[in-house]
Amino acid sequence: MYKSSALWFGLFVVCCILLFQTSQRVTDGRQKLSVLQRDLVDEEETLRVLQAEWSYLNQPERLEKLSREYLKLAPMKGQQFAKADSLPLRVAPEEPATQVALTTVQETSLTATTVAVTAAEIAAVDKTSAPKRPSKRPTSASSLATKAPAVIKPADRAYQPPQPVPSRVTNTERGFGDVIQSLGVSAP
Amino acid sequence: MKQYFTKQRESISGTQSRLLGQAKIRLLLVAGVFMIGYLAISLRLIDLTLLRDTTANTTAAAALAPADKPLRGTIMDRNGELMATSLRMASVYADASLIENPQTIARELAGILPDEKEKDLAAKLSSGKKFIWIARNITPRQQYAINTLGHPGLSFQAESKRIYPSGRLTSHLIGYTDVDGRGIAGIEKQHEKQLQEGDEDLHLTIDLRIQHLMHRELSKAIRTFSAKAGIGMVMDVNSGDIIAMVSLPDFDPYHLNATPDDTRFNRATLGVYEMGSTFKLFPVAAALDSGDASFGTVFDTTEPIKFGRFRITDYHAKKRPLTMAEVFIYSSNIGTAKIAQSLGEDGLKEFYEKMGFFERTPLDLPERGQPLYPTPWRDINTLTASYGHGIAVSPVHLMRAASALVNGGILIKPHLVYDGKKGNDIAKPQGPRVVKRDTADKVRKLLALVVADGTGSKARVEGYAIGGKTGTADKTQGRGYSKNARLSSFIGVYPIDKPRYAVLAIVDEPQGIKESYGYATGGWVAAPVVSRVIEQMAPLYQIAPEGDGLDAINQEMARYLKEKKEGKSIVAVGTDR
Repeated sequence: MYKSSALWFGLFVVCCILLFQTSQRVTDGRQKLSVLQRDLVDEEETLRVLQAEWSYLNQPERLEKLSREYLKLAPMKGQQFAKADSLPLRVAPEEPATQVALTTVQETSLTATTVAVTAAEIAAVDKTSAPKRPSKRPTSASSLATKAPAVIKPADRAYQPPQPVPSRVTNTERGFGDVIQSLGVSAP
Repeated sequence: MKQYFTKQRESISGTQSRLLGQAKIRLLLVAGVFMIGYLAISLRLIDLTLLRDTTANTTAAAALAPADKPLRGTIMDRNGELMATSLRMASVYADASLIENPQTIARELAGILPDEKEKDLAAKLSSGKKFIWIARNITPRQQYAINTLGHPGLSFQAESKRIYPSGRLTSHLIGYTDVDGRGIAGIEKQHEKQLQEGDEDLHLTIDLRIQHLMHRELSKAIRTFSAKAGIGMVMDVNSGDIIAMVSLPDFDPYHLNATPDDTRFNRATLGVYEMGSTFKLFPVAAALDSGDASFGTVFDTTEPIKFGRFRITDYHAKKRPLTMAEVFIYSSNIGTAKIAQSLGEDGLKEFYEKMGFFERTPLDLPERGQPLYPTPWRDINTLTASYGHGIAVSPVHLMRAASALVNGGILIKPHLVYDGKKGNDIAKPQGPRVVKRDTADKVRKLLALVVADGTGSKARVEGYAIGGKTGTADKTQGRGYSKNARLSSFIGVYPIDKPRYAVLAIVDEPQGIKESYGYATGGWVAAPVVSRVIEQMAPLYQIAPEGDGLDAINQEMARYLKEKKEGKSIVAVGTDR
């Protein structure tokens, strides 16, 4: 009699503890959920701010101005298209591909990107032609690529890294650009 | 326990026994109350943990959900560039009854809020009112700075603010909202419900890049020719997608109150204009479609037409009979009127009705102009309506009808909401057939000729085959037509062998300049705009130049053109009206 009562009582206590723990976990979980939900709303609003900033920075007028200032590119014209069959046939190289590419790099001053691409091609060629020493040659190729920009000198002015341009260039007196500017990168 | 009580009962009796009984009852009563209490708690526990699970959850969710309504939806262009969005921003207000030293606080606030004057702020703060706005939509940084001032009288309220990153560029198109955030113009009004719910982004058919191109070139033309206003539009002639739509002058969507009503008027959709010569497309197409006339049909244009008190003349009369092709290329008013006469009043009206010139366009914007046409329709109206006078339609009407003439004869629905189709595929036109495919082919040849060797030669772009028609309409002034105020227009279509895009430019009241030899006609003013837009747009849309492809058309058409046969050039730019 006493024994079974004690057993039931013990069971009751265990259940109580479990129940209490569960309910505590639920409470905690809910709190976390509400925090997360609030964060989510915050993040969504931040996302909107960033999207708005991005599109301000992407205003065609602004891009046009920047491109005029920093790039030597102009809008493409119809005359600049050519048909594939109007191109002359490629002359088959007499020397191995690697050497041809290297001499090309040394002789002519190509643009930085072209050199980089050529270097990458050399690396690729080396990998296939000399599989025994793949570790050394790509390094030399990449060092060539890093050195290359020093050779290039723009004709009219020295290279200047693009400066961050204030997003203030908007079409309003007190526009959204000020908002974004004061925000720094993102909303807190 | 039973034994214990019986034992007791044995030894106790009399008054004590009665007292003991009383105690026992009390004990039972108390135990009962506790039992009921525990039972209630247990039941409640079961109820809460097992039974009431779902309801408890929803209550919690309701409590956790953000109290504010969702931000108004965003509007994007066809490439996903943002054109309108809403942001949550703080506004600061004051309870002036709690402010003790308004002068100091006003100075501090003026340091944080550059737009507010210290004097005004001080006046507001010393007003004693329980609620007064200090500044609306301040930045988070300003909010932080004001918060650190720590004045109990200053509080914040979160408000949503509509942002238009593309600004002036799309001002007429996007429209605007009122103070409560309800759309009252443009797309904002048209799609109010979807935007209000804020769940889904709204994608438009507009391409911001092309919009910018058109805006830039049109502004340039307006500046060069000291014009009053301008309209520019680019439309996909097969799908009806409106790629660009510009109405100048435009307005700053952030400073609506500071803009005159005139600038807020969407000329491209709401304005109706007598289009002039560009309208000659339609009687010519109607005549070709009827089968009674062909390129070679001759109309006598030797003498001006006299009709009551009206006199229909040509600006540069050829004073000889012209073929249908010549009537179009020389833009002869007399000839077009004769074509209309041959169609008859019913024929012309029926065709115009098919083209949608007597009702509003089905464009998805609230600002759609109702065309103006004479009621009752007199005989003279048939003649003038043939060359675009006496009937006024919106530029969208013109674009839609012209598209039907070149896309194979289908009257499409111009629209602004993007159906999400990507890629460079050419859509199949959807809608009722209004002219035969054969007629559409013939119209394309005429259009190509105008650009190749006619009044539209300023619209030429190297490498691309373009067709088009110039128009220069005298504007009505009082009861007659003005001599100096005109509407110069050009509608271009390219590539002309398989048309994909129609480009329209209209310039309002351009003034002739030295470079244009004093001319301010469609060929001098509007055609170059169209040319420059196509020149820059075609590579962006990956349309490869296939040569202008005009030799064949020239050869085929030469036998209908007297000057061509004689080896002379057809007509100089500027002579066309």
